[in-house]
Amino acid sequence: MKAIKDQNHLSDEQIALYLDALRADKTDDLPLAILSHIDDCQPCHRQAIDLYSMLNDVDYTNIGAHPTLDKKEAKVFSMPRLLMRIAAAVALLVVSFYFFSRNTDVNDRGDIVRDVTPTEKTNPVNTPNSSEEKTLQKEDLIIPEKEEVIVKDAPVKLEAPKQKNPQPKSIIPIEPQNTRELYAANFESSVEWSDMMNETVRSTSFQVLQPKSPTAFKPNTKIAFQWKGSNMNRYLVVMNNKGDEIHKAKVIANSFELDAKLLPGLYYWKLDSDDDLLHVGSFTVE
Amino acid sequence: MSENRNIEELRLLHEHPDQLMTRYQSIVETVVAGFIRRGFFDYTEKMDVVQNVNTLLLEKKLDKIKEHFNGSVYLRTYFSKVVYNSCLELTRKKARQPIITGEELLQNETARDLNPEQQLAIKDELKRVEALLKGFGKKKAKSIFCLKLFAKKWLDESDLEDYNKLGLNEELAMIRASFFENYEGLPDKAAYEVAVLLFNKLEKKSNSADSLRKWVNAIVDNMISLLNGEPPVYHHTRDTIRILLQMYFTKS
Repeated sequence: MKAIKDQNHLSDEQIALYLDALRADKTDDLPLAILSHIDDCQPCHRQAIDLYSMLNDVDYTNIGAHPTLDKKEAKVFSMPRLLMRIAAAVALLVVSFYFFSRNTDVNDRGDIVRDVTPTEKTNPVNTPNSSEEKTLQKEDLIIPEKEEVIVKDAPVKLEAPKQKNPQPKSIIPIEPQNTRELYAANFESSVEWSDMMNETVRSTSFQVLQPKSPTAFKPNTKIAFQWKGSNMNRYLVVMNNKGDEIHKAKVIANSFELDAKLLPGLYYWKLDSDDDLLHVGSFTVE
Repeated sequence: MSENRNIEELRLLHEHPDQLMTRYQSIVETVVAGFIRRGFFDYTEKMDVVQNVNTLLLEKKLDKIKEHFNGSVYLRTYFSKVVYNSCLELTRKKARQPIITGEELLQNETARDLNPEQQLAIKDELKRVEALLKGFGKKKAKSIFCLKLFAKKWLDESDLEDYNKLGLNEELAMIRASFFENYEGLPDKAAYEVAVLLFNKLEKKSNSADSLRKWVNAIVDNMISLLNGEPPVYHHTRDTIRILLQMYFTKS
């Protein structure tokens, strides 16, 4: 079946297939292209739900097996008998081959390890006469006497985890986690709250006057919140960029002044009632 | 009548299209009636519209069905879609504006003070809600659970069937304590604060209640847009969707 009709809409047959699947509660069996199109395309989705309600009065008794949806089911049902046996045999072969080749590698490796002396392990310098293959084997087996990770500018010295058989690849330099980075982390935006910002509020008469996002405040300054709309019980909540609640206040008037010593960083604030989230905004303290 | 009507109808399509048309008259009338209930045509016009659709089918569309239909769906479903397209064509030609119905009609339903046409319109609307709910796909269970909370519909053990075996005893106990009896007075926010604990545990996330509320509101807004239609036939709001969902969950 052609995936999507020319004008970027589902074809009549595809909409009919979606309808048959809805009727039979088999939407999970539909091609992904149809499902994602229905999710994204309101005209097609609308036609489908309209027709679904109309088809409620259409007689489908003794209609027989569905040409697509039941065929798929029949295929899946018959799979254990033949295909499952073939699949099991193939899987067994693959697993056997994997273990066979893995054991061979381990044995080979074990032989090399036994051939290497401790002097060779601690001396990474290649001997001029050694072959390329030999040099590579030695490099693979270089084991440092001691692992140490130096963390610059960090208040606590970090130690690398102890390993039974440390390999050169395990010495991954840890990024210095300095004050600047910690400071920057306070300004990282939260996906969840950023996503909720500026969403349409339920009441069209509600409007935020300040602070408009993004507004930057200096530390230790009072932050004024103001909005337009009917007076009602509302809750103003200020959160840090991780979503932790910093301040919560019940407000009845259309304004509120926050007098809290906020550290530099990105903050989100929301205004909600018992029944609805009215606004989500953000501001920074720099 | 044979065991498999679909195959029989496919044969009629190619060998005796006139007989197929006779058999499918009920489908034509059903789809036209659907358009009438949405206000695209007047009730008095029904037979004229049916006749016009039949003319369109006989003059060109039946031949196209014969030519293009590949048998991947039931013929009567596909035929319904063709009739639906024909009705849309006729509505465009007439340039009629549909009737806007909304909250008033639904609220009257509870008073049982509706004429048969209005009752059919509501039945129709509930079927459209059913289509939306069935089409939620992988998020179906979560969506329906949350829409019940949105509609303030009491939950029962059947709503927790999917979650019972997942070791969420603490969260389910809170759900039972909060939503198994009347919670009309419980603010939405408080309801979502309980529900989000279940979904966070299930999905290994740490979303806020607001995030869940936003997600539910987005679903409801999408339902409003789909049900209202383009051009708008209904004037649904979150409140009418709440009423519709209450009716749907009660009747189902």
